[in-house]
Amino acid sequence: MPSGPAIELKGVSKRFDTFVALDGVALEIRAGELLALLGPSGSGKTTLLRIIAGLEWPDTGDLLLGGESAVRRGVRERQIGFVFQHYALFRHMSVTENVAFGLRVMPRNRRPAEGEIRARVQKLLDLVQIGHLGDRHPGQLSGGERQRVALARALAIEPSVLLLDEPFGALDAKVRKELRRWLRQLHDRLSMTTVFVTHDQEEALELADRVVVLGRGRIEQVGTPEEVYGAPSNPFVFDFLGQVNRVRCQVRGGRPIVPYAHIEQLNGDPSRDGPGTLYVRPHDVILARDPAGPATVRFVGVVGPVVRLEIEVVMGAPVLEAELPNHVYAGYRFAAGERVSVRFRSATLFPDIAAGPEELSPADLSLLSASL
Amino acid sequence: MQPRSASTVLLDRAPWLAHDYARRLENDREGFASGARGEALVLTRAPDPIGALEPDRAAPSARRTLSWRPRSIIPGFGLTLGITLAWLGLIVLIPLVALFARAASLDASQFLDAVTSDRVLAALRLSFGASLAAALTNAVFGSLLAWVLVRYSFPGRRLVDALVDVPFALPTAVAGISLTALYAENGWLGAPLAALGIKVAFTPLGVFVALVFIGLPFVVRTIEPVLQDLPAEIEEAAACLGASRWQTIVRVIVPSLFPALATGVALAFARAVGEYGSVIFIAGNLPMVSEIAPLLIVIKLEEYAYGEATAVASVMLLISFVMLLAINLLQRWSRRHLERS
Repeated sequence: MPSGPAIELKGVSKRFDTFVALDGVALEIRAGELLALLGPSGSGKTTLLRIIAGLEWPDTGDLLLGGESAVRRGVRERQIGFVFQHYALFRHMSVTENVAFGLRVMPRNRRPAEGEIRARVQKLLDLVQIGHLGDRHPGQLSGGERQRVALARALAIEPSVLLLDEPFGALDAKVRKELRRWLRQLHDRLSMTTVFVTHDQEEALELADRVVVLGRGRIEQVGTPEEVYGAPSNPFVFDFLGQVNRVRCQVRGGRPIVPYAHIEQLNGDPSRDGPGTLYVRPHDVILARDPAGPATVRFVGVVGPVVRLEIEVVMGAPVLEAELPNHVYAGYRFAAGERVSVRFRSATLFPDIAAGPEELSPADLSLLSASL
Repeated sequence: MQPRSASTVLLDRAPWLAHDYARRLENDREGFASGARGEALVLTRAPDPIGALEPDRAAPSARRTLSWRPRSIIPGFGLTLGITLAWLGLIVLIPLVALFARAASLDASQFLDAVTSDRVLAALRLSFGASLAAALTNAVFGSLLAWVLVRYSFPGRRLVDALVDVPFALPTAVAGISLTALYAENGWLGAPLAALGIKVAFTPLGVFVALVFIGLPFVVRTIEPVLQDLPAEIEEAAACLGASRWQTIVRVIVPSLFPALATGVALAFARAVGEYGSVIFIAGNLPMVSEIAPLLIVIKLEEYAYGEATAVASVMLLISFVMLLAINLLQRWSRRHLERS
């Protein structure tokens, strides 16, 4: 697999009127990788994708495709496959004609002969497993089938890069999961540089080689799914990826002080004294039955294979969420109202100074007031 | 009646029919007072006055009705269809029948003479030719106008939007007079055009100009909503696939708009064929040259040649009907895939 960057973004900024969609984004996308742009709505992820495709222009910054600046190249010249969120299929054309469109509009000297167009379209339809639907029209297809048509149509022009905007957003949960796995297999077969946008963390973590977490027009973290989930580099990523408990604490003498819990492994930098926040995943909250313990089980919910518990700490701190596998829970059988002791298997500390006041979400504020 | 859920009532059909039938007879005996109850019971099929009055025929006729009309929980089909047919008959069909009846006062050879005289043929040719040309011209420029109004925002957009409707609202005579003043050889546009050797007023070209004027809003207003619903994404998709702007328009946008465009053209055409007020001012009305068929009809009426007038009118009606039918079929053909979604 070649390893040079297929796409390189340098200090890309874009604003719409007063809304800053992208703010100095720098990113290298390796050839052949499957990259997820993950972020909440308004984080600029779709704008970034559209800039790569050439459907949007950056106000400042540069975009390199295969090492050459592409900002001046129009969308037609970039030869990028783009799959739109709502597929944007041509409704008046059959599936075959939709897929053949990119070939038919080629300039005469590059356009394949009619027979070859047909053969290539059939091959693409077989590749996306809808070879039997060529004569149908988009209106007669299910969502998943339309998605496949859109993909085949984008692949027909033999693009160097494939971009997908919320590729599974409009599908129901079951089809989504199926298509997700299938797209991964397809990518492994084609080993084409692929970038997809999603707001669904599970999708990004399951599918991508690397995940780019975007928040408010800036890249918050880039890394493998394990890295971004296991070692989020800032509170935003922690909050956005997966469930997390935020525990207010005071850092003193290189240790965060949490009166009611024992911290087994501390990540982050505790060198600065002062207020801080510990981020603890629910599955890192470990409970033990202890009549003299500082916390009370308030609620036990069995959600399929996992059990979720809400813990109230006596000292007026906010509710903690703990999660443990069903078979482990079977050994304890906590009941609501029981006293327990609390351990954090792993907790990550972020000093409060790092987060400016504007970065506090309403949830932060409520936590703040709760702990005061 | 046993308390049953609505769905079971609808499901077991045969016993319910019999029950319903018995109830209906009872209602008839009870008279009008129990009408409301009767209506609730026969919700699933049309009131059948003949059947109700003659019990022997009620059951079979009810069964026949059910066979072609799907059951629906939306009542009122019979009532609304009845009113629709009556109204359509009163407003459209009876006048048309009167027209043909009047034309039938001529015998076959008189009729043929009346509609195949050179003057009549020239007028029909002009009326339909100019109307079609005007409608097609409006198809091109009306689409463009609709496009600009929908896709771009610019200062004065609302003003342009309002201007489009002016031909709707303006009395056609006013339009005719202003167009004539404008295009006459001493008019603002007529003078420079005359210098180029183009005469507009008092020629067939003048007829065409007037018909373009009155037909424009029909095309714009039918295309606009469809264009609004056409996602910009499909144009972006076409561009991503390497289509030029022109290819996008020809291969993607126009085919998507075609059904609406056909409707707009049909409306503009129909309006143009029937147009009278604006045309007679600018046309000059030279027999064989710039005389439109509606004017010829008026002239015949003024000569008390009612038979001839209605003969020409019925031919116009037939041609219009055939052309509109053709446009409708074309539209249905182009829409066949879109409707299945």
